[in-house]
Amino acid sequence: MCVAAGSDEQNAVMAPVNVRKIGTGVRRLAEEVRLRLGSTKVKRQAQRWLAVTVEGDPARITTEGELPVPLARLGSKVEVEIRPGPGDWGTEILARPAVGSSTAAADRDVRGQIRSALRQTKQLLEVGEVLIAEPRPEGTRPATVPGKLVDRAVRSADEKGVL
Amino acid sequence: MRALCWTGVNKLQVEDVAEPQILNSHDAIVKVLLSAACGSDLHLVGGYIPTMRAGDVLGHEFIGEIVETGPGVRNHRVGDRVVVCSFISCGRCHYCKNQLYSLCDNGNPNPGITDTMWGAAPGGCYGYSHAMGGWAGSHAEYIRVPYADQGAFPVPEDVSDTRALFASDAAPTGWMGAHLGGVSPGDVVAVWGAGGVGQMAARAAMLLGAERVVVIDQFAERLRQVENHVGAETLDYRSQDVLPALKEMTGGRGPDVCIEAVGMEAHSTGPAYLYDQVKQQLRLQTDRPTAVREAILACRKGGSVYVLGVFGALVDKFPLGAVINKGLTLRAAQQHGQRYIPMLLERMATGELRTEHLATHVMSLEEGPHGYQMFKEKMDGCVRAVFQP
Repeated sequence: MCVAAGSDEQNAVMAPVNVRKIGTGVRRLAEEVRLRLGSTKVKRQAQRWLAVTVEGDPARITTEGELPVPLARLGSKVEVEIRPGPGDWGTEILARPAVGSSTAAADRDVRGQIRSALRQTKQLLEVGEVLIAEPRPEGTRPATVPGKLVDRAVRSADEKGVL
Repeated sequence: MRALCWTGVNKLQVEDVAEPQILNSHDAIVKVLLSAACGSDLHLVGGYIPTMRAGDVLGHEFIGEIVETGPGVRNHRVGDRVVVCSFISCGRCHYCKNQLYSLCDNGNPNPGITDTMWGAAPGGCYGYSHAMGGWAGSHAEYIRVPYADQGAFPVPEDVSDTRALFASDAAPTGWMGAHLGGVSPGDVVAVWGAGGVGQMAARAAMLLGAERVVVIDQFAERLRQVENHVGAETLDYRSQDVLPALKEMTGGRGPDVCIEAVGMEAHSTGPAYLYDQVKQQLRLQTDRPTAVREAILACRKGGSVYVLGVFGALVDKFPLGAVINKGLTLRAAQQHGQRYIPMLLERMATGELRTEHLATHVMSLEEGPHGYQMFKEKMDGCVRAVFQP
């Protein structure tokens, strides 16, 4: 998106300003500041494990010491812990960005990837395959503002949530 | 193929859409024989559930014939006539293993939306917005059925399509309300809402041994159906005050079990209804909980209230004080249909459970928009519009 300002002559020599990029940059900077100057609660939140519970005992989670593929794909970016759940709750798989990995924004991206990987891991272990949603039968999809908001929510739905 | 799509608030259209494909090994493709409009669809049609996208195919209550199966499907073959549970559940996660199928961890491919809204994601549901997985619905010629071994059930030969259709949603939802609401022999049960689900809840309560069952609504033709086809008593809230009437029926105690089968667009009389309408239209509350409030106030001390109606988010003036001080048990769920459907089909086969009367208006898929208008406005005594693709 270009922001026009000033006279035609001025516009002719001004480079287009990408508002979306600026917005992203400001948001990431704010996250970084919030994390570095924020309360202990904020810092703790950034280090918190993300977790899913899967059916079966812990021995079933790793094959010859190897993590399930969705988690293994994240490599050294993440720490993973596996422990038995209480009662008949099977196994708890926990993951979080590796300590000192990078910036707050990168951390946020990794946490999204972890949510997705944990959900996929759970499906692989319990059902044997990851559920595929698309393509689906659908009618005309006009480009409306509410529609774009739904599309955006759906695109990131696998990486979002309080998991 | 042709499909009935939501195209905007109160706008529906039959469109040409691509046919569904097998995408996972546990999928089946089902040719839809009958597909019912459900009261909960009206929340989608009216724009009360904001995660609908123009072009979404509606419908979640259906019966059909299997025309294709994935390599992982073991229990079904091409040509099987099946009724399919509205909720999509894997059958393998902790919740499914504990028969809480609508809470399935693996049936919703968009878990982040409801995880954020509600703190955890329930399973998926056909044709019920992207919050519930974005699955294409059954108001179409064909539908993809994931986890087919878990969600599709063969229909006994002697059960008609129209009777079996309601084993997809209305019957198991109603049964669950009576069962998990704790109905036991000798109970007095009150049911709010005489639509398909309310009628099925009342019938379930009777079959579970309730001594007296009363259904509350305002529509004469629905109340007549309750009397003629279900065999329960009725209460028209336009002509009677519900709370005193229930007290009188129960020796001053109140019903043992109260089942709410109305949902987020409840109607009522008096200033409370106006208040709820204004707040909902101004988006100061998302749902109108009139029937839930009344059920809580009506219920006897130590009794049980079960909420079957669909609610999306937030309600106002919720009588939590009554719940606590009367020692009520309050439960709710979307249907755990896989738990009940085989048993319900058996009861349908023996004639204990009859549902055909609910299908008051059977029509072609092309007439879908008109069918929903009739259903929404209760025109011509419409209890359910049913589409034949």
